Amino acid sequence: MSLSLKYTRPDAALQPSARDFFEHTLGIDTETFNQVLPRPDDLICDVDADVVLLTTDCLETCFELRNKGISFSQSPSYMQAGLSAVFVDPTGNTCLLIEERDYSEEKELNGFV
Amino acid sequence: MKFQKTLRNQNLIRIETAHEAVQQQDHVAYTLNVVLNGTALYRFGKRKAQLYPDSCLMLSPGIKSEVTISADFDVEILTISFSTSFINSFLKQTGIAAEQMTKGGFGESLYPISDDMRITIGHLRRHLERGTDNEELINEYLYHCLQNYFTVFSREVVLRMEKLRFSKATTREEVMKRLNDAREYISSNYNKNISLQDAADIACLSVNHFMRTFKEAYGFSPHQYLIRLRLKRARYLLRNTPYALHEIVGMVGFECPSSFIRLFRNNFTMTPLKYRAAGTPMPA
Repeated sequence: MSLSLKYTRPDAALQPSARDFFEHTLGIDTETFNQVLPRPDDLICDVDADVVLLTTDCLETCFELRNKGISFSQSPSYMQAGLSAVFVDPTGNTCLLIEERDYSEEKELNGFV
Repeated sequence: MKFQKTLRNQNLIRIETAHEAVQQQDHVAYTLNVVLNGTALYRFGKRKAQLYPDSCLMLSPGIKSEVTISADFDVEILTISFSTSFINSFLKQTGIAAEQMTKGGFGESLYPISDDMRITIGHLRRHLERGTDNEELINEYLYHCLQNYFTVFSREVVLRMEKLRFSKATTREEVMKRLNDAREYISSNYNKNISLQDAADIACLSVNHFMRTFKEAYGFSPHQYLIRLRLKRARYLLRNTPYALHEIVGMVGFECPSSFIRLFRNNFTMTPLKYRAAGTPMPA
């Protein structure tokens, strides 16, 4: 499982319990939380998330996280930016897990598939 | 044969590789057929269709099929047979009506592979190649393959049928079936010198009626559809094969390289060779 941080809401709280969760359960360097990452435009309309995490394979990552006891409030589903799922961290931050997908070729063909 | 895996729930995944082969199958379950590279001729029921990597074919239980592969290089075919219990569970979870599986004769037809389905299949294939034995995870991918299929099916049948300007639903459905047959014929014979009359004959419609209703449903005239299909398949060949440009021009049914280059540039804002140089191969 390889996760990286794409966005954190500037005021997203990172309590010690959440820090432990992000570092040990998700394998993410929490130092990156100090950086203010711009919210991606393509996500604005879809989910109001405090934290956005990138994965290269959403189904595999969800499967592994479920095995670690994480339950998802939104199962993997398709959105404009790709395949995504939602869970809540121990301090209540809404985390959006997303596998970004490039639909440009499909769009370029102007609906013709 | 390269790989076969039967899961405990009786879902079956098979990836076969051959450059010359004829295979016959009696399907006892819904089976999704995808050509990962190259092309294969499918005969099923009284029909035949050439399957390319941009399309898929779902065959129903009880259907017999024959697949013919004849190519200079190995052709890879993925088939996924979904057990009845898996299909029923999928339909229950998604709320899709059981009759949607066949939708009155629309079932056995070629439908485009969406980006999502191609990516799902790519992930599934990667796990199978790695030897993943986690069936729960493999079933997740199969579930999403079905979901991706129904998304395309709905777009290609249900939404296009609604665009037809007939007051009676039964007329819309009958005309859509005929247009679907013609579209499949164009897709299978896209690189041959097919005429509008040929396609209209397949649809059992007059040429004028066929042209008008085809454009209503698909948003393109049959000729525009054919040209875009040729360009789309040329793109695939440019990115995924070493064939020279002039060979690809002939392979996709264009007679003149200069008109192909002009059409390609007008549609995709770059020349074919720039397109080839710019990108990485598209995943199967």
